[in-house]
Amino acid sequence: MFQIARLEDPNVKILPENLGKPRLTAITQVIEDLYVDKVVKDLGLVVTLYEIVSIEGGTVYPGEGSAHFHVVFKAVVFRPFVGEVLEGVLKKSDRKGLYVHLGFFDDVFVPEHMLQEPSAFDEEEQLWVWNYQNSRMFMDLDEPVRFRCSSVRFPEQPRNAKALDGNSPQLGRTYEGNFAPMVIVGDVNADGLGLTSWWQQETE
Amino acid sequence: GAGFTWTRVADACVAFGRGRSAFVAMKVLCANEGLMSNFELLEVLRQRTRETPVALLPHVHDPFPTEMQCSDTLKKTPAGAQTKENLAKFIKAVEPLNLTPAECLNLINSKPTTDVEIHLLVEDCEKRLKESEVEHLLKLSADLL
Repeated sequence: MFQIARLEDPNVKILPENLGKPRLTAITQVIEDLYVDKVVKDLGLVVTLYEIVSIEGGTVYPGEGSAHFHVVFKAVVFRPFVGEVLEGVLKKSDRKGLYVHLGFFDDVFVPEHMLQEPSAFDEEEQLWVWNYQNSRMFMDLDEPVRFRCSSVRFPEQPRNAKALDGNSPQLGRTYEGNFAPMVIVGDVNADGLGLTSWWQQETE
Repeated sequence: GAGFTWTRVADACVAFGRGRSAFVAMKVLCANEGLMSNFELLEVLRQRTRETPVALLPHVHDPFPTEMQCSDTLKKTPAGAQTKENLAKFIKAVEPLNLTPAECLNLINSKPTTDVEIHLLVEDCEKRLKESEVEHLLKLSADLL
């Protein structure tokens, strides 16, 4: 799920009031405020800072009191690889597919054409059902679900709320109507995938 | 190079403005210097959330919400109970099976308990692993992961 990325920020600004602190402390603070819990487009979600590799500079420009540093650092980034098998909790279903949460990341979407075959949407219960060997296996909410990462998308930020509304979940529209800058598209179309309760080993 | 925009996952709208110009200059020097297992990240987060006394970075603040959520989520996965020694033993023990690093990572993170899961995590499993090897993997998983 996680990888280490090496990033470079040539313009880390330490405000004058923080220049009394040890340099490493002040710079770490600024970098963490800027990057942790943010999605870097085409890379992933920065979960935590791993280490500061180098700090150069300390230039003060005319007209302001802040010091500017050139910093290279490593961050731990959440970015599943294609084919990785992950487990989350099914939070919502609708005609378009499943919405799964991972605890620290909420934008996993399984489109309806990537569900176990054959599946059907039960309008009454508003749940997806897998019709397996004549038994109807309901995909109940709040159940643990195992899925495979099919792709990781970084949708373009739409210009306004109206443009967002017309978008599909893969384009970043969450079921609450918000914008998701990072979307994981998953599939549950193989043995072992779907609700984990379906595949538990029977004791012999 | 291309400019990078940033957004907070939990927020509804992107907050442009303050600090944005600084961000545009940011460069990704290397997107993937190495994969990190859930266990390794949990170790790092334990230091951040002050569970262990030794730190990689000075403790400058209380842990961020994402770090706490990540830590809480990962503790409930198999990573929560793993140890460095056992993972090292596991990696050594599966060497003869010729798994890719990604498959090895997937196995460590998932701790499979059934045949079906092994087939899911190892590509072309039927061609690459004999049934006895699948059994062996399941035993290693139960003992070491």
